[in-house]
Amino acid sequence: MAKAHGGKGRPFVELFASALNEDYRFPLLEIFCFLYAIGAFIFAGFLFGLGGPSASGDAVAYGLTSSLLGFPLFIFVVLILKNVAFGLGNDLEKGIVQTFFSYPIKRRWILSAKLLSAVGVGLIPFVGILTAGMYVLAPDVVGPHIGIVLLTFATSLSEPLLVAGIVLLVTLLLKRGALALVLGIVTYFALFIVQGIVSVIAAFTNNVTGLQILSVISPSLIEGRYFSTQSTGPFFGPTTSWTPTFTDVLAYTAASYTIVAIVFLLGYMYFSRRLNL
Amino acid sequence: MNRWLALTSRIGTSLTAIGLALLLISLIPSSSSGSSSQIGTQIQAGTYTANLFGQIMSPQQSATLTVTSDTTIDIYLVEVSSAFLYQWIYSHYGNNGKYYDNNVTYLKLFLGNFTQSVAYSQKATLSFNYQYTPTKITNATLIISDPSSSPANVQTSWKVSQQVAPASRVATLAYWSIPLGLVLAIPWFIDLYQRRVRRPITGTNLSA
Repeated sequence: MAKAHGGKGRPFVELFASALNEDYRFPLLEIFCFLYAIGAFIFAGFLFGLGGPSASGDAVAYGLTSSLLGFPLFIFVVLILKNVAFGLGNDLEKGIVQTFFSYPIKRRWILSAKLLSAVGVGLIPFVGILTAGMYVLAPDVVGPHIGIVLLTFATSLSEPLLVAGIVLLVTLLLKRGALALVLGIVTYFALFIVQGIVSVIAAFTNNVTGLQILSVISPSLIEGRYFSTQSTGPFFGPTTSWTPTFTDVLAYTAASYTIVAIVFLLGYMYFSRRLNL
Repeated sequence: MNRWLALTSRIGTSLTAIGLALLLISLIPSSSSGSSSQIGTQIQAGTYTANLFGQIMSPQQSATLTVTSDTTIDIYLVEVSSAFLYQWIYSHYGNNGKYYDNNVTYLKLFLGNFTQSVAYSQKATLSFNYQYTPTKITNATLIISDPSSSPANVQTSWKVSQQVAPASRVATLAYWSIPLGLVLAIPWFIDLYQRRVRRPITGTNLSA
């Protein structure tokens, strides 16, 4: 039967196209592209460059990239949580997923098509527009340090992706999108607040245990710490309590994505084996 | 509508949205509250000066430099500090014991070794007007040299202003992306028009 439909690819493409159509109704994608393009310039800052041209190129590239990941990252989180919770939640509530199950395609490919549209496609304009905007603004900062720019995106995106994974699990368990979306937004803000508290504790008491634990979920913390201890700028003097190395940053980032992968894997397992409609 | 055409059209509408955002950014005026200065000085024949303008600048700053002279002069905008220039000359040619040796011969030797640091230059000129926006965090130093045999009376004025983004670069991108996006979105506009034309008339049947 699968061959009669042109193999596994055709139903996957059909599902993917349908999910894209649902997730990015006109003019939603255009509005997000507009906001990312505005954000790429409005929020750009060269804080790490305040130490002057002697500040390392990597630190300036990190500072520029992280300065952009406030508001644009928040609207990206809203987009992916909306897509995961409402996109999948509505399909579960309305029984559309049952129709998908009748397609000659494995369940995991159905979920892959939905997630590729909800998260994967959402990532392209986010990373693409912000990186291109930074390149237009400061080609000699972004060009030679593109690795640091992409690493900063990676460290900052792992936490939203973890929240997206949790929202996916909750949506599948509750078979409802709205509650999962609320839970996702609350979780995201709770993590944000915890980060603030832990950072303040680390700064005031020199106890960095909490910061180290939280860095496994939010590797942007350890990356920020790495560059702040490297910098000799006026605001970021070296601290002695915890001076992570670049290898530590990479290791924590890898660990955080392993956690993200596990959460999504649980979602896949539940969707493939346990989901009864 | 064909799936590929639909995809192309959405890329087009997104590109138009990005272009409109860039256009909006390019229209934001730069801050007029930046630092500025006006200096009049005399440069002796066969010497140079690197003390008229020198700042650390970021890509969100723009310097407008204006120089006028009564004798032809050479002007260079270099991405190093004046201290670095003097230090380099002193360490390589400082046999006469002068730290601030402003002989034009040494300047030419320096520029020959640091060609990549010259952001802009204009030779044998009486007036110079240039707007400089760096592409990284860098020192910017204005060097004026008088290679002629008579002294030059020079008037220099500069102003550094803050900006969200380099307006000309962003505007150029907007001027390209908006028309390109609209062209790519043509199939979508046609489809939209056709759907409106074909839409069946609904409402109360008056003849019934």
